[in-house]
Amino acid sequence: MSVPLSQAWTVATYVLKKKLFRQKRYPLVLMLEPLFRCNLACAGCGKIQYPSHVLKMQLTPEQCFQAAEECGAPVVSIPGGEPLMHPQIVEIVEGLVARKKYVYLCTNALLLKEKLPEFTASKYLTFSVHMDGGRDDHDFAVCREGTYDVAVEAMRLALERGFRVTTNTTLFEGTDPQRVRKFFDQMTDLGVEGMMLSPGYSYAKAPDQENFLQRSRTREMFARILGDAKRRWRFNHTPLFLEFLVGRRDYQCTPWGNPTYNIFGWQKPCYLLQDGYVETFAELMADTDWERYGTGRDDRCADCMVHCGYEASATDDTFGSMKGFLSTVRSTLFGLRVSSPTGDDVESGGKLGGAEGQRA
Amino acid sequence: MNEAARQDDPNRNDPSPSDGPAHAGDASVGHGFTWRGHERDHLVSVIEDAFDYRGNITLHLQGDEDLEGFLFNRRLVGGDEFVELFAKDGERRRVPYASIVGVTFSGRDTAAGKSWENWVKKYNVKKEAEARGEQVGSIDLFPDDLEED
Repeated sequence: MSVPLSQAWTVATYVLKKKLFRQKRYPLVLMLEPLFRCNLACAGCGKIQYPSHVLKMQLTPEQCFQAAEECGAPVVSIPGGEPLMHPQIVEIVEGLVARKKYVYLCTNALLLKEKLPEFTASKYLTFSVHMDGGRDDHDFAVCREGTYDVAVEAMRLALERGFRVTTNTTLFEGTDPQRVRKFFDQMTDLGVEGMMLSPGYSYAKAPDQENFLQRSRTREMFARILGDAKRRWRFNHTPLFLEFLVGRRDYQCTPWGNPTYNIFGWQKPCYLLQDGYVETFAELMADTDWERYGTGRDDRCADCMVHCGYEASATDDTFGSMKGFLSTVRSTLFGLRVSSPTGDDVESGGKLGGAEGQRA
Repeated sequence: MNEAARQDDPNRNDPSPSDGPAHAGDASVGHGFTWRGHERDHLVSVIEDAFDYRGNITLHLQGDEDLEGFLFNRRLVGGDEFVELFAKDGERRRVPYASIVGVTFSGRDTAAGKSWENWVKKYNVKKEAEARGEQVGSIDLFPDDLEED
């Protein structure tokens, strides 16, 4: 298991409670973007392209706490921008930890070594470090030489000091599966708690719309990367999400699973699409026409297989049926099953958001 | 916004460098583009373009007021129809559609030229030059200067 038992228990009981009360839509992870400023300028990134007066803005700690309380999700992911550039990030993290939220601070780790002494190690705090592959691949992906080495040094230090450290890897068109497998070995040797994977997805606001992965190629690539996966690799995902990535099963998106809050408000409908903003979480849940989004419903969603939409679907499936639960147990005990790239034996997930998972 | 809408509009500005057939999602609606008019459909269309634009825009309001900032939201439901923007001074402003008589894409497009393809071209040129034994300077990318706009 790649997360502490207490975290798994917290998430499991949270989901089961929602199921018990027959709550159809509930958030799993709050995506809290306290600022859009970043110290990298990765080509194609759609998250940081704003005029300077917007980049200078940031959420206050109080706004962050209120968002976490409104949302109620047991896990808070803090992406950005680069959260460590926020002058009050320590206060924000401490406040969320005090509220017993499991915080994933997503960082490129360029400032981690410098900021680390200000943080206190806790089971509630994880540094989720953006690593897009080995040294050459990562530096190429983030468009700056030397970034990999800085990040690895900071991660090593954080691990030595007892912090939870995971990686977050986005894989783009042209990725060499063998190099990715070697990267998994490197991160495992380093001692990270788990690795998070995401297919590069062409979301509407990104300047680059052509070099991201398409759904069938995504499955094929992940099947090659995760085929015969080493038992020592630990992923920060549910087994069913990994089976989804390799084409073993299919899900419909759960866009409300990872609601996003930032300086503009609550983002409709999800972390990647920006169709507008509302002031409260209650408005987001009540006023968004959720049935409009997802594969087969919105062209922009056609190729998306990103964890912010589908990890919640996999989690819902895990706890939503005996079949999903047993599949999770089987995958945990016996390892990931990988289908052929043609995906002949795809299983459909449970009923999600009123719609059956469907084959893309 | 469509070309006919712009041509029919007697109040529109002279063609800007980015002028041409224009509608939501059209790349020609970019930095320097201006629309002025009173047709609701045209206004709705140009606001969609402004919502997708990654730079500041200027709203021309009734009463000769101009408001420049980043338009991040628009709502067209029921009788509550407004756009929201962060003005350059950081103030959050909500402006009714009914009070907007024109829109100029006044700030530079912060996403322009930052595609992955551009980066790959640059990277390949560097690698080829290095393979020929030439000295090549850094091509690392850095964030824009926040004092620039």
